[in-house]
Amino acid sequence: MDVTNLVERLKQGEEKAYKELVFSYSKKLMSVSRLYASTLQEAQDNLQDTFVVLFRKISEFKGTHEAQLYAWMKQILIYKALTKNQKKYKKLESALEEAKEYTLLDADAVSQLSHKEIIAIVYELPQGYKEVFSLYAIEGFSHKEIGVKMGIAESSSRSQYSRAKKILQEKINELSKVFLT
Amino acid sequence: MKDDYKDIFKRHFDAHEDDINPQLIWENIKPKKKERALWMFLFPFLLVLGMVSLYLINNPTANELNNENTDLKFGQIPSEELHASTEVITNNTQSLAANNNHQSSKENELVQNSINRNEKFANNLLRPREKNNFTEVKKSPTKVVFVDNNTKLDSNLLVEQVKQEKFKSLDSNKIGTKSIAIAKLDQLEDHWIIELELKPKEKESMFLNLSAGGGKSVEVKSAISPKWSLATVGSYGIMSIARKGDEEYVALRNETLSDLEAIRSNLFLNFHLSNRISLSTGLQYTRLNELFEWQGEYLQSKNGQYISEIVITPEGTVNNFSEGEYKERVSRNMKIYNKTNLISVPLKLNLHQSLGGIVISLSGGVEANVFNWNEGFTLNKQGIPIDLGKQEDIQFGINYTAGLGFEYLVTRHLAVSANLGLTTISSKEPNLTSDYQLTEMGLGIRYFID
Repeated sequence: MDVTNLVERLKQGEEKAYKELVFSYSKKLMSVSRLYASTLQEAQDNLQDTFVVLFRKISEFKGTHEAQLYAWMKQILIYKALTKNQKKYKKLESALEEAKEYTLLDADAVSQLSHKEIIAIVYELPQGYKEVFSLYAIEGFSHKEIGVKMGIAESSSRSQYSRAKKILQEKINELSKVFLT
Repeated sequence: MKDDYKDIFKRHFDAHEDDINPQLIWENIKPKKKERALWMFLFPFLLVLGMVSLYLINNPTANELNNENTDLKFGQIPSEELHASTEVITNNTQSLAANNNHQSSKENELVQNSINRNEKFANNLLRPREKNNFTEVKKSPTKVVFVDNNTKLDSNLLVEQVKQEKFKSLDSNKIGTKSIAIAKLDQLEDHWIIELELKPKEKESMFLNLSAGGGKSVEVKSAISPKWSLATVGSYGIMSIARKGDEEYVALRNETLSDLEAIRSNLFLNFHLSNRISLSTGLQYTRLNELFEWQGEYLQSKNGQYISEIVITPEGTVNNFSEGEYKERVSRNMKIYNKTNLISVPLKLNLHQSLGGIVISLSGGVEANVFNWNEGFTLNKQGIPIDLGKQEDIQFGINYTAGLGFEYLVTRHLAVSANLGLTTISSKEPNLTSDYQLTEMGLGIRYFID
């Protein structure tokens, strides 16, 4: 994809370019959006909002590569989704106690799962856990950064991450049992 | 080297694509303004097309008629006879001019004499022109203009034809001449005006009869002209809006606003002071539509059971409930039209000018808003949607309006119209003043009351 050309057309307000962008990135960005939404509808709404913001702010994009464009779009999507749910995360945080034990995820067991299973177990994580896990494990943010992004304490991020891992491990175990039987 | 579990998850999610249909996303976010713009271009185009078609249907082209009339005239009338007749008519015209300011009885006598003296001429001249005498009939609320495209005939001679034909027709319809008399005969630059004293019921007959006569630019003025008319117009418009007041409110409103449109319908009672001036008042309904878009969540106070505690146990998550007032998180995705409805009483001054078969009107005035109600949502200062209908403190003042109208008389009582209008509407809320500039285009009808 010629990103420079696409961005230039977007800046000129060409409707075809908008459509091209939506058709090229909807599927990929939706997979990200589902990590930061509690329902499929919310994920779709967030994605739509993101595209609307992208159209408005395209003049601010200075990159020239496809990877840069995708990273920029993903950044806006995650920011929008997290900002919208900050109060929800805060409420969840207050209901939680700090995790006392830290679960280790078995990488071998994870690697035994199919692509579909890996995606499914993360999507099925409860709200709050899913976001923390995605930001830490997939996006590579620190707990301190996650705390700022989600409006929660760093320690809460750690706790939620630990609990997310625990839930994931349980699910992996269940899937392994099914596989063995 | 052995993979970290994070790498495995990252790799799978980087490669993953959801199975959502991009068309669905596109349908929800694609710009819609182009369709509206197309419609806005199409509407005036169809309006103009319709008016031109109507005009052409009712008015055969001059060229066709000129050719037809010229052939008839020179083919049917011997030159000596035409010469002799012209002399007689010249004499008659001089007599008519001399008696211009005399009483109507004398003028009647004059007309009757000229009919008798020119019987032969009239028979010869009128016979070949029977089918195409008055080729074009243009009407306005208070007068009828007959135009003969055969410009080669002398206007005086043609007026004689009108009179001749008129009385013939009246006799044949047994209306008689008592109730219809020529009150005034006056010559203007290139057309004639004949004022007639008529009773309302006889007006229609007179028009029918005269339309069968012949003449060049003869204007017939009715002594009884309609004083009142009822008009109704339906219009569609686009708006622009300027808001001032609390900066936060202005920002919130402008952020959610995407499209503006207006629909208006009204019923006017017009009082015609003269052919040129009328006053109108009535009732007017205006609906201001704002496409309001808002997505987000807010807290709403509620009473009842709520989750007071979430306890995570090895068996799973347990929710503990309590009773009382709690805040419920409401998620809204609103893409709706806010509808502001106004009932107003207009008072307008209208100036009319007849041009060809069309009456052009300029109008200006004020509209007093007497009642309003609202449907939809707006945002309060905290960015929380509130029901617009419950916001009772929206005040609308006086609107100022100006318009341009084109009217075409289909029958003597009924006219169709096309209108362009500009209106400013101002609304006041405690923290916000909104000024709407409305540009509208409409179609309507007018009924003239005898």
